[in-house]
Amino acid sequence: MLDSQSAFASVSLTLTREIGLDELPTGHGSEIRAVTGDGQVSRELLTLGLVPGVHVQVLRRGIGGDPLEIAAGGHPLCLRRDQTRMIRVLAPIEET
Amino acid sequence: MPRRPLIAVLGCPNTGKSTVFNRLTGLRQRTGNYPGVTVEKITGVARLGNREVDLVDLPGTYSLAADGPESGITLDVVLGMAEGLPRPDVVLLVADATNLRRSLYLFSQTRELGLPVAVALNMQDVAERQGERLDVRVLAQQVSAPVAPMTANRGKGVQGLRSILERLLAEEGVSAVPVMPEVREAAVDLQADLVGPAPELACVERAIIDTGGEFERRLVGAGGQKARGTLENIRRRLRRQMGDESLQSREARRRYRQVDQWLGQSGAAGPQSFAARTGWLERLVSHPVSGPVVFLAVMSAVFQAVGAWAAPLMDAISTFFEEVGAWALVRLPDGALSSLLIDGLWSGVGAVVVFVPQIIFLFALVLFLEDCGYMARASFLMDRLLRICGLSGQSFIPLLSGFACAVPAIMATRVVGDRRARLATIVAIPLMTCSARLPVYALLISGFVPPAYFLNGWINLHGLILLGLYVLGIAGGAVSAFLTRRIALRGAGASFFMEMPPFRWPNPRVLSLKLTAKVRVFLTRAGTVIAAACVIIWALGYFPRSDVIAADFAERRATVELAAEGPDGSDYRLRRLNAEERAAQLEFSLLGRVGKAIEPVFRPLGWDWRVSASVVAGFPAREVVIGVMGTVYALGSEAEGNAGLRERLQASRWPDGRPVFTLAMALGLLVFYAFALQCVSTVAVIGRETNSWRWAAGAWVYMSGFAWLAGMLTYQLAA
Amino acid sequence: MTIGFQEIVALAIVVVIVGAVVFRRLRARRRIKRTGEASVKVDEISRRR
Repeated sequence: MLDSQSAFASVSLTLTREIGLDELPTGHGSEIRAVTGDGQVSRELLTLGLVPGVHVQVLRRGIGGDPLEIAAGGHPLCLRRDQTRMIRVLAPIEET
Repeated sequence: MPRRPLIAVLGCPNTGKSTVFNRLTGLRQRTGNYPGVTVEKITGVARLGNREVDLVDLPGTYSLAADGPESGITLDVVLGMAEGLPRPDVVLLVADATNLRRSLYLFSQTRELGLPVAVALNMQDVAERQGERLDVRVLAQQVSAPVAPMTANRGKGVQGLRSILERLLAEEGVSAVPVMPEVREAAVDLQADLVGPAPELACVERAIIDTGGEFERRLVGAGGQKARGTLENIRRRLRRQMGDESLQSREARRRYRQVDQWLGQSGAAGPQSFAARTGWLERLVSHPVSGPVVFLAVMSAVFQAVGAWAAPLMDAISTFFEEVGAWALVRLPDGALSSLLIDGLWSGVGAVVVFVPQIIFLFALVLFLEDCGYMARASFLMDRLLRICGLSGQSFIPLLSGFACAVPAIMATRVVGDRRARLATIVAIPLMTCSARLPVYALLISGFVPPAYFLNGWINLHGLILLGLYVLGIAGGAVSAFLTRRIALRGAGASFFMEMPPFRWPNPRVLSLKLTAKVRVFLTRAGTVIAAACVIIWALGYFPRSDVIAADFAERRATVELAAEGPDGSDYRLRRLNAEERAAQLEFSLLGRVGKAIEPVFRPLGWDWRVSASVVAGFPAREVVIGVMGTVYALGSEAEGNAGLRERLQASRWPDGRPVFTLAMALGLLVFYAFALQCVSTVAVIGRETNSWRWAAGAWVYMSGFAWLAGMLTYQLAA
Repeated sequence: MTIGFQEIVALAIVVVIVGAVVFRRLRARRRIKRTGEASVKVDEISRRR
């Protein structure tokens, strides 16, 4: 985990792939790159501290992967998959 | 007389804001685990030193940005634009010491408004136990606002907060440098451009930042298309300046950077990283296979326990009320007053009290599971399933509470964040099998469903039918919610946010406080209405009276008394005569006439006028029906109880000699009862919670119609 | 029917009880209106649709 993060730092930003937070495996974490959309749903996510640059982690998933419990900025929160899809994170290096 | 100063109490959900408010004003209010318990606006008076100040408790919110009129209230109140409230002199921001980042985000917005802000750093004890080493004095310096550390639920730190507020009341507010200076600049220009009464600067700023938000709507509503065009130009220009990041993203980023700086300087522990949920209990309840199994086990345990504990108590209570009624009947002189006392008031009170045990047990278990953290996990688990019918995971607890009493359950829907889902939940709740349906179910099932056992006596047909009725109610609720979302409340659901509290042992004191509140809601909200309904129904069933019938029965009584051989024999026959007279008078009464007039309506369900009259009597409160049936069917004494009534129902005949109560008719009646909204208090609470009598009337018409249709189909198919 | 003293008293009691309950509920409603307690604005939703 730590290794992959330090590996990130050496990779230039243009090469990193962005995925939706919902694609992150349970237990894994990554950094938020952006919250897409410009309306109520993304506003709520941003307000709760899901802002670009923050480390976010998937803690558990409901049946069928929905909803998700995530932790960002040190606090857990349950969201539905539609919402987590708007949170774009760096793809973990071991996936590619 | 100068007006009292006003302090607005602001804070994120679940920060113990209401507890702080109660500590200051001495009011009592419920606090819960879920976000959004406080949706009411509550005011109180607090003593600060030797002066009195008004406090207003604002709904919990994470941000001043608003997406609807309800969330817009917060900024309205703080800026003094809310009706009936002056501009506050001080804003008290209640922050959660264990989740300071989110609270300070709100603070970062609030400090730009130009009002003195005090911060109550609540839940300090928990934060310290978690190893938080934040220096409060440094934090106060950093945010340039007084910070009062406190543990409101234990009353610690309240005195310090009081003196801070007292001091602040004498001060002028200073607005902090805005985090979004570009937006402030644009807002000043835009404000000057607008025609008509100028909105507050803060509202214009929010209108610019929050695309599709409440303040944009208000601005465009006041300024028309021109305002929309200007707004969009400003946004486009600012967005270009920010490297094509949305304004709201930029605002959140800057504010959180500011917050993190404050926290870093104050020596707060950085954001901890979370291990995936690895405790064995967590794994057990959230595992895709064992999770649902545990859920089903917990739910059946809850219902088994409630059934097993409540049934004997309910029996004891109803026996008590019947015995005392029968005892009084013999001793009191015959007449309208004693009839009102026994058949109206006393049985009305009995009809309320009898449900208290079941309501206490079910709510005790629900609150226990809620406070120990399991309900949040159950809601998480059920979210996907509930969403199919347009509900949300947060609907789960209100729905479960509906099995005790719909009135507190509908009030509990305030935790459902999404408005559409909340309304759908409100529509579904009255179909859950509440405790008041059970006596009717018990009477009809034991009277008309033949006893049968399957699997060597393990499964009882009676139990199966009861289970079927529960399932029918749940299915009806699901269909109603689905249809509501499809027809009346189309549109995508709003966002879903839920915080999962850690597993912990509930605090028995808090638990009993919440339980008392629920039971009080039942007694005052539902109980008074049920009792009043009983009295009305008594009057309808008592007046008018026929002198002819009275004279006829007086004669027959005299004959019996003359012919009396032994005291016992005549006593029994006299009681029978009395019961028959009551039945005859009821047939003559308004209620009996209504029953006869309405009989054709219920003919397709196989009901005669007696059943129709009883069911009509049950419309204000369904529990009344058994008492009325007792009178209609000339039950000798109430002490004969269910067994007596059962025999009378079985003996009931149509004029042509066919029995009225057949299996088909009983099943139809059961189905009718499963669906019908026969409860005035529920209708009233729907009206109140939806703030619309159309919804209450609609729910009543829909459910009554549906009940009639389903009862009719059941009867016709089974016959 | 003959309406005696008892019947009138009984009816009066019924009226008083029902009146008291209705009055209590109405008072609660007024209080709600004043403080804006009720929280779902249905009309708002239908208007926005």
